[in-house]
Amino acid sequence: MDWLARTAPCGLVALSMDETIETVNDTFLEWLGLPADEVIGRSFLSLLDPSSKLFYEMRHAPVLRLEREARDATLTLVRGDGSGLPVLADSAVRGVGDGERILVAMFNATMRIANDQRALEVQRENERLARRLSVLQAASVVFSTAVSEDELCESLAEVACDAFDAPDAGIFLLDGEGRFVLRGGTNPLEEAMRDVESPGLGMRALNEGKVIVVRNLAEAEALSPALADAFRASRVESLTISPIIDEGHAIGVMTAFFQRPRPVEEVSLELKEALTKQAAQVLMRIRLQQRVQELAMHDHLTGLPHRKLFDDQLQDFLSEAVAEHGSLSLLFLDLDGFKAVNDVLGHPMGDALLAQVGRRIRATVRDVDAVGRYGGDEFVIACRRAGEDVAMQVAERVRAAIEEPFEGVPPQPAVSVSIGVAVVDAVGGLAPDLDHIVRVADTAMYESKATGRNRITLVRA
Amino acid sequence: MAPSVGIMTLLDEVVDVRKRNNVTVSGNPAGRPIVFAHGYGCSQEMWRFVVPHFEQDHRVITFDHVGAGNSDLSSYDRAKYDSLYGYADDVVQLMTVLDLDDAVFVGHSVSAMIGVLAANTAPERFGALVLVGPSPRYVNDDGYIGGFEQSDIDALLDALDADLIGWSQAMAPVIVGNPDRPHLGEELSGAFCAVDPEIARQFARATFLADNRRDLEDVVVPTVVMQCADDAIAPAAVGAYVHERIPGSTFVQLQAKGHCPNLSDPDELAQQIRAHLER
Repeated sequence: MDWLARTAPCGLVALSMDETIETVNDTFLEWLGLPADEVIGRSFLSLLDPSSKLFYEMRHAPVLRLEREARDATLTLVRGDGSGLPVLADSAVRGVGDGERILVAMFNATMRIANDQRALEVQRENERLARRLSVLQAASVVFSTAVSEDELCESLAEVACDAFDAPDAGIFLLDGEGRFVLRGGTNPLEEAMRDVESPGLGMRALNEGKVIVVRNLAEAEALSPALADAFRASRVESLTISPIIDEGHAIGVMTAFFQRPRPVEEVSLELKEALTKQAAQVLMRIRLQQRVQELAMHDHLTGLPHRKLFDDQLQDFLSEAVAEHGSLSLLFLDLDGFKAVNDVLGHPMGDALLAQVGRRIRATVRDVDAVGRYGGDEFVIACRRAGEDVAMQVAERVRAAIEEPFEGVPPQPAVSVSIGVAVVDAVGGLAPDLDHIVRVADTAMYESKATGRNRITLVRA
Repeated sequence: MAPSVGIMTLLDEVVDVRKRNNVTVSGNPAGRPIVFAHGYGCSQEMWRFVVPHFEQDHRVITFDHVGAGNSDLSSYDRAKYDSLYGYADDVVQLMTVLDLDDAVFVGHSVSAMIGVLAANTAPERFGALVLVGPSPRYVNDDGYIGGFEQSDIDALLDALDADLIGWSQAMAPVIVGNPDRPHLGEELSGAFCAVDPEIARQFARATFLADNRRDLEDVVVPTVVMQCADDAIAPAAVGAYVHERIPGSTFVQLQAKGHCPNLSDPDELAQQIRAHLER
C-alpha cells in the first residue's frame, strides 16, 4: 500500500491545519522537480501561482473548513523551474483533535486545461453573439413603438444600461445650435461638469465616427483634470461615448457611465455601433414622420398653418388669457377683389399673390402672434395677450400692408383686405369658447365688407 | 424617510431587504448591533464560528450578498452590481431598514471595502468599522503594491469564465438524508458557501478590478484594520497602507495565518474584535 501511495499517478499531500506541508508522495515531488527537503515545511499556498492563490484562499479553503471537504479546484502549481502545472484538486480534513490534517489529492490536468482554454474562446464568442442578438432584438421591439424622439431616447438609454451593465446611460442629441441636449436617460456628471469646460468628447466621437472610451480615472485625468474631478465627485470611473450618425448626418451620442474601470474586452464596441446604428435609423424615421405631419398641418402655398393647427394655437392663447384673467384678440381677414384677380390674371397669378399676402401678414404682425390660412382668401391672426388697442394697431398695419403693390402682380384689378376683430377680455377668468370667438370675428369681417371694404370692424366677443 | 412614504411601503421594504440578503438576526436585542459581512466566494457561513462569541451582549446581524448563500437571486441586477457601490448600497439599506444605530460593521476581504463605501455614504449608522484583510486594490500600480499583476487577475477571470474552478460543487443538491429534495427555483441550495457561478463572474470583476484607494481618506467612522499573518491575498503592506490612509485608524496584527481568520482562528479574531470594542 505504501508503494501505491508513493507512486500512484496523482499528487498526494498532507498539510497541517495551517496549511504547512508535512508529507508528500513521490509523484508530487516529481511534478515539482524539487527535493523533499525543499517542499516539506513550506506553506502549500507558496506552491500555487497567484490566481490559484486567490481562488484557493477565497473559495477552496473556506469550503474545506466549513464542510471538511472541497472538490474540483483547478489550481496551477509552480514547479521548481518556474513553469506551471495545472492540477485538479480534491481536499478533505481527516483525523480528530491534534491529529487533524488536510489531505489534498491532485491529478495532472494539463490536457483538460488546454481543451478548456479553447472551449473558453468558443464559449466567449458564442456568448458575445448571443448577447448581441438578444440586445438588438430587444432594442428593435422597444424602438418600434417609439413615436417621439424623447421616447426613443428613453428606450435607448434603458437598452444601453441593460446591454452594457451600466448603472447610468444618457442619450444626448444635437440641438439647432449644435449643442448636446440630454434627451433620454441620465447624466451623473451633469452637476459636476456644470461650470467646467467640457473636453468635447461627444464632438470627437461624431467627428471621428467611432466610440470614445475613457477606461479609468487615469485616462480621464490625461484628457482633462476637470473631467477626472467630475468622475471622482460622481462615482463615475469610466465611460463610453458612441456616435449616433445616420448616413453621414450627425444626430447625437449615446453615453454609458460605469462605476468601475473597464478593461478592453468589456467595452463591446461592435454591439455599441450596431445599437446606435439601429437607433439612428429609427430617429431619422421619427423625424421624417414629424416632418410629414408638419407639412400636412401647413398650407403648402403660404407655409402658414391650416385651420386645425391654428385653432390649437388660438386655444393655447385663450387658455392663457383665462388663466391670467387677461386678453386676446382674433383678426379675421378676407381679401377684397381677389376673385377678379383670379378671373382676369389667371389662377397662377392668384396663387403668387396669396403667397405674398401670407408673407406680408407674417412680417407685419408681432413675433408673439400666430397666423393661419383658413382657406381660399381667408386668413386669421391670433394676437396673444392683446386688448383693443394692440389689436387695432396690428389690424391697421396689416390693412395698410395689403394696399401696397405686389411684386410681379399687375396693379389692376386692385386688392385690399376687410378685417373683423374679436377682442376677448377674460375678466374673472371667464371667456367665450373658441367657436364663438371665430364666429364673432367672421361676422365683424362681413360688417367691414358691407360698409365699404378695406376697413376694420372691432367687436368684443 | 420622506413623509410621503406610507407605512406599507416601509413594511414591504423590511420584508424585501431581509429576503433579498437573507438577513439573520440573533443575540441580545438590546445589545449594540454588530453586522458581519462575508467576502468573495462564500456566504454568511464564514461567520458561523465567530457569531457565538457576540450573541450574549450584541444584536448580531449576518447576511448574504446577492448571489451568495440563500440570497434572493431574482434581485440580481447586472447594472447595479457591476461595482462594489451596488453591494454597499445594499448594506446601507439593510442598516436603515433594521434601523441600526452606532453599529459595528465587521467586513471580511472585499466586504471590508464594501463597508468603507457604505460608511462613507451613511456614516451616521456606523459606530465602528472592523476591516479584516482589507485591500483597496489588488493590482499593483505605480508606487503601490497590491500583491497581484493584471495578468494574475486576468487568469482568475478566465478561469471563472470557463467555470474551471468548480462552483458546481456548491450548486449540486447535496442534502444529506433527503436526496429527493427538488431544486429550489431561485435559491441556491445544498452545500455551505453556495455561490451562483454567473454572478460570481461579475462579482469577481467588481472585486478584483476595483480601485478604492481614494475612498480610504474619506472614512470618518472609527476604524480598526485587522491584518492576518502570511496573508497571500491582502499582504501586510496592503494592510499597512489601509491603516495609513484611514485617518485615526488602529492597526491590529493577528496571529492567525492566511486570509480567513474567521475560519482558521475564529477565537482569536473574536477576542481581538471584542478587545478593540471594549477599549
